[in-house]
Amino acid sequence: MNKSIISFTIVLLVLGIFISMQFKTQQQLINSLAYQDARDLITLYNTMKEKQDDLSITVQELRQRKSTIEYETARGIERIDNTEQEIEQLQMLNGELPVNGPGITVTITGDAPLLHYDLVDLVNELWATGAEAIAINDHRITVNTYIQPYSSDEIFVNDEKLLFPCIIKAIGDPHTLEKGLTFTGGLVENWSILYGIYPSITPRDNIAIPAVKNRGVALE
Amino acid sequence: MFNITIVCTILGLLLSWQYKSTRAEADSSSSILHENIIEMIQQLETDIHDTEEEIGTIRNQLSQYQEVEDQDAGTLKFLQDYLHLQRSINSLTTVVGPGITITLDDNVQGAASASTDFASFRPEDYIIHDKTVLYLVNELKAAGAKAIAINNQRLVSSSDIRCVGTVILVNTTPMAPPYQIKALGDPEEIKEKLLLGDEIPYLKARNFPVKIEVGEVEIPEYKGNFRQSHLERGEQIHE
Repeated sequence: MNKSIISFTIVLLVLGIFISMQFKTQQQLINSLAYQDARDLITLYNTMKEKQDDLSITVQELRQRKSTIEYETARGIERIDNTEQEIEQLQMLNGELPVNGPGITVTITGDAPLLHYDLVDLVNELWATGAEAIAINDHRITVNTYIQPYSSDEIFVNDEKLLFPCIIKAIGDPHTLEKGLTFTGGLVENWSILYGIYPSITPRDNIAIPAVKNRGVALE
Repeated sequence: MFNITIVCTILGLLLSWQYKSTRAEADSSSSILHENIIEMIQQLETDIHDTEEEIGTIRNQLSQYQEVEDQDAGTLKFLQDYLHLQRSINSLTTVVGPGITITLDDNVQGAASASTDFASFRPEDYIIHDKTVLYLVNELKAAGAKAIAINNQRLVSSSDIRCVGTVILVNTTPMAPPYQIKALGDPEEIKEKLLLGDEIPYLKARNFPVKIEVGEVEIPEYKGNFRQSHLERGEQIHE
């Protein structure tokens, strides 16, 4: 008897769940579009269409703004790159950055009767024949560099005493730079005939010239 | 017992069938128009959802771009200021300030009186030479001049001063006397050092007309090119 009551309960329980599930589905179906009145559906459609139209306008504007700002950002980056490049070029020229390149070295030994004028002449001659960067004993020549005698046998490049052998490095076309010094009646000939200075000039594929030790002066 | 189970099962199936058929009835009653509208509404639902998603995405991107743009604008401002500084170091800006103006001219008077003695007259002793200007510039730098121009030709690091015949070239620009050399810097200090230097005393001793004026100077910017076809950026050497 107990057994039959349990079975009966289970059957009714299953039946109840079955019915309630069906009923729920039915409720959803009634709420769903299929059970709406056609006029209500059209109203709903129109409302939604209006919203979608508004959204479309917004999205068009946003797309426009995005492409504008993308263009502006790209241009901004380009301008940053260009400015950085321009700064780098100027720093290579004014000595704030070290530079490499082909060129020549001029070596003057300590026994040469070298005067500070001779070095001023040499540097001037190197600039005149196309040097793009010059250093005396790795002391970078800038717009403010001066070469001064200190005592009868001491030369100073800015505040640095010149030591021998003195090596002047110049970056530029090696052949032109060499010819600019060694042509007949040129600086090297004058040095050897008039002063007994015999520099050794060597063209080189690659010369490294360091940056200035003190940066240039900004002027207003 | 079995009977009850069977009856209940059948009852359940009947009930469910009943509901299903009700729905089927409703479906069949909806017209084709009805179905079309539903389809359009569902399509709209998808579209609205997609559009809203896109709007959200773009707004996020825009605020990111805005941030990047603001950062870039800041970076650019900084770089442009730095570029200006670099241009000024490279003599690419006009400078105005206290300084000294030296005017050198050929010794025309001396030459006129000396030329009567034809045998000993050396005209080169009465003209301003490129070397004089070159060494004077070196002295000016040693005396603390911050910017120099010769006949308004601004000197840069790579400026050369030489001559072709009696014409002096500065930055390969030919110029004739008088040579007006303007230098920015402490006027009194520069003047004092020049008077103790080599070039000015030499010229004065030989009666060249030398004029030294102290006061505000305006030194124009360099207008030429810089050569850098052989230059590459090198490695920083750490000492």
